[in-house]
Amino acid sequence: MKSTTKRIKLDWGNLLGFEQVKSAQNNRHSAEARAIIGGKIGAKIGGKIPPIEA
Amino acid sequence: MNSISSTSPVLTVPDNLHAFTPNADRARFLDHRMRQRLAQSLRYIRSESDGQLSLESESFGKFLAQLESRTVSPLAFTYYNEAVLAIEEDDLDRATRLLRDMSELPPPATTLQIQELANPTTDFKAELYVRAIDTDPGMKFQVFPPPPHAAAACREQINQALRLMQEGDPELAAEIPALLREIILAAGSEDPKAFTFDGGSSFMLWGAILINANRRDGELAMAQMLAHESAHNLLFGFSANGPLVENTADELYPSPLRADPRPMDGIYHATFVTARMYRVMRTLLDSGILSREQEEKARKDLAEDARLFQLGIDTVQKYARLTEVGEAVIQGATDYMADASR
Repeated sequence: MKSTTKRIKLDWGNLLGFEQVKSAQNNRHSAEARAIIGGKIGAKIGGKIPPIEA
Repeated sequence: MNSISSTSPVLTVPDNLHAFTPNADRARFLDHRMRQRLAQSLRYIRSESDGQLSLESESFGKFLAQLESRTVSPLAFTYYNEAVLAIEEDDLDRATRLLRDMSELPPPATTLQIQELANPTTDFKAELYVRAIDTDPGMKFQVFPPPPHAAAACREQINQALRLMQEGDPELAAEIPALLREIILAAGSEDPKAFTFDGGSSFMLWGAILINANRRDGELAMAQMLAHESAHNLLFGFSANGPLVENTADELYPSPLRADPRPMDGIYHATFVTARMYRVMRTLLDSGILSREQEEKARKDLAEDARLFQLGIDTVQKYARLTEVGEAVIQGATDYMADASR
């Protein structure tokens, strides 16, 4: 069973990249937090994108 | 960022730090600053872990010293990102493994490397490259190793584009290898209904870009792609000490480039990189080295880039809550585009 207690408590305000999304640190319900907790931050995808609908 | 005890040297900030014009020295400063910030973050993690992550090893200490003195693999940032998330999930065994593997990454080559992505289903490093860029849960895409013939053709296209820029846009040609350590060739789905990628980059893959090796659109388009992805890395470098916009990721705005509303950070990035794409086309066109066919393509691309920039900057100006750095950076792009259109 996954522990719900963190043995190491980090302040995202002290972490490169994570300080930019510090507001999401304790909010696991925001889209921002989900994206971060899923292991991904700030990728930019160039090129093909869905066309703008008329 | 809060003050953290560190032996890091004080970096001298260039006068032109946020200027729009490409600058290799500025890029080297940004790389050094990112590495310094990563070292500070890792020292902080070590101090907070209180021995729970086995970070007292000689290799970890050597890695921290290396961060201060020379370039590192772009994957160092990805391992770090994954380790922080593992700590947040209280998976300390995974965090320990990730940080140990990070500290054992070999130093990168001293010149820009073009490499092929290994199979992300069997190679953990390849999986990390993909995880770093495939971050939008609403728009997932597949990333594969490139077919050998496509990789060879793409490699040649990249080299042709770099030679073109060395002759026609030497400032950008010098900035790109100062910003990037790796160009990773990959492939996306060939299904016409699937969403795929042309290129990708990530804050947590600082110093690397991915390019879809199945591109078949020539050296001029590749020059734009390199300008595009390196510009994203430039913005990541500007963001080392904080964001460019204060709008949060769940605040969505109409985007000129997408049917679905997007976070302001994405719109900001798209607007800036479009200006950099315009700039490389403008500079190459003005250099006089393009063929007639290339000149025709450049003029078409210039018109489209100018149109998209205007749409993007209208949205940024209307909705963005810019930080001081964010304002300085986008103002440089705006001023350039205003001058270029005269």
